[in-house]
Amino acid sequence: MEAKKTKKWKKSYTYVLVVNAIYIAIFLLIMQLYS
Amino acid sequence: MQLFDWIVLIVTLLFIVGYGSWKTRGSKNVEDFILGNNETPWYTVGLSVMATQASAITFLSTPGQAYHDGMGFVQFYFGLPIAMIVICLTFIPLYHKSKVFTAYEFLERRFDVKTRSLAAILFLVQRGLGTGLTIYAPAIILSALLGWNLTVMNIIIGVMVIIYTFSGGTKAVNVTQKQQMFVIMSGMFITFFLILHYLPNDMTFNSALHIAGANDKMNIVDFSFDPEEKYTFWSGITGGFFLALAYFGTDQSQVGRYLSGKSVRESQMGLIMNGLLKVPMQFFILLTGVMVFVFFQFNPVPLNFNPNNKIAIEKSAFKQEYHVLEEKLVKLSEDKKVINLLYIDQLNQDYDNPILRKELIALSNKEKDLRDKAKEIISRADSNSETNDKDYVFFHFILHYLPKGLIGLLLAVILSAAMSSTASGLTALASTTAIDIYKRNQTEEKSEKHYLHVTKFFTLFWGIVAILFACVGTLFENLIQLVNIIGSIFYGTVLGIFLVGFYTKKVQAKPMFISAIISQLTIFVIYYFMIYRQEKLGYLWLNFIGAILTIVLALLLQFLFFKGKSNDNELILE
Repeated sequence: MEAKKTKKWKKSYTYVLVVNAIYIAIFLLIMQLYS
Repeated sequence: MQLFDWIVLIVTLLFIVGYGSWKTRGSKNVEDFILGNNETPWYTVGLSVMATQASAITFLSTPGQAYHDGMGFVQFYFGLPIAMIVICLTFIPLYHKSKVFTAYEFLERRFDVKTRSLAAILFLVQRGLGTGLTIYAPAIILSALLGWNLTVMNIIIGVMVIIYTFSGGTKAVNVTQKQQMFVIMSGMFITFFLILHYLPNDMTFNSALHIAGANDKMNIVDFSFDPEEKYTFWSGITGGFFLALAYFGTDQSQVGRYLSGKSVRESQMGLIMNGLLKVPMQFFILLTGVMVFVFFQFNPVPLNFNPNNKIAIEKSAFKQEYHVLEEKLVKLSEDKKVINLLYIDQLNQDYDNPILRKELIALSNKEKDLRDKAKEIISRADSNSETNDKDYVFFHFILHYLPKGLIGLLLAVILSAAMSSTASGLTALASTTAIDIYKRNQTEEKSEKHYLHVTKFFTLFWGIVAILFACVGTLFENLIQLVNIIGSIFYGTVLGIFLVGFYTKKVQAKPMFISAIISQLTIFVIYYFMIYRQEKLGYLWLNFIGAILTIVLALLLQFLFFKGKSNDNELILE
């Protein structure tokens, strides 16, 4: 049961994806501004 | 190096080694030594995972990479956060469920002892060489720049790591890595802000970024599908994902870090921390390199940053030819400085002059040509020389421009990074040899104390092997490349075995083992064609091909030749 529970998708995984997407968006913005 | 630098360096390192050994002394049993009694909180797991990956080369090479090629290297890490999620979802719960000491132990529960031993031996070969390199690589750079004896440096770094890993095992690695990460990040932050402080008076951070952009250093993300481009968004997402999955999911030096977590959730949170912080951390290190580049737009810069190359040239018949290039670079740097100052002046008046930008790019290209010509001359003077000087750029800056005390701190940063990766490597090698090879092949029941002593012995053994390998490192040409190739050759197959183990229920031990062997032999053949037939294929692709081939072959063999046979392995997957 424990292993099943921990296999579930968690909010923190969504945060990782969203935050990294934001990083890439910031990188694109920096490129727009400076290169 | 002045007395104050020596004091900062020695006190920092001795404190880390002394405190780590004292705090974690007296492991009671093998579980305590290898898994740290599963008492590690998530933030320590996270820091430990990050410190293990960040070796000395990360801090020496990455700024130099940005200096020459800009910020694009950060894309290499774009696949890492996705790999962290996959490991949290599948790998960690299964490792914890099967209560293993090492990743390879899982393979026996899922398949059989042959598959376990194969993966463990592939790991020992690859990580054994890799751990020697984590000592050797910074030692050779520091010995070239500081004139220190290479063998003495190898021994000092190796012995310091052996002292605390032998004394406290995984707990000592975790405790010391926290301090090492603190030293590393504070040293890097101080250096970054000092570089900004050293820029010309009327130059803001914003202007510095404009200068970097005008010199083609701010192309961070590249969405092109050009296979000739080393780092693109797509190669980062795919190649980077597979590499991170193999490294963090199956390499015991990383698996050992999160297996020591208090619970499944704490281990997962540690990797989530890595997934959130890795990309900005690499971005920051690259940005430091770009700021070093901006700094050198206003300060004297050498034609090649490796001092050994300069020595070789001065002793050769090509001395005059090289001096002519040096004079050209001085003239070109002066021109660049004038145009850069004019460009900033106009930027301060809100005018981004496109003509000056074009001129800066033209001058940058001329500088690149001069550097390429210099490399040619260096190769003619000494055919064995390493003309690529990116590993030397950042430390050249540190040695020549940082104030007293900070040079010592930055040296502590480099050596801390070397020690943190080496320590994880040693504990992983020792636990794999003790658990997967030694204990697995014992016929008689032995006491916990016996296995604790054996694991400690293997820690010492691998420490000595790593030092010896580092000491003979100079005998091999292109050592770093060699170890990277060995890593890429084996990682794919091992990842393939684990993925089949995690995601399929029906594939049994025999088809798994046969497909792993065939896949590994195929990779050797591909590698032969790459080397001797000059086929153009990046090493990163070997990981991908090895993993996919292992999975497809295992599934095919299972359904064609082993269909309907019972699965009698101990671990039943849900």
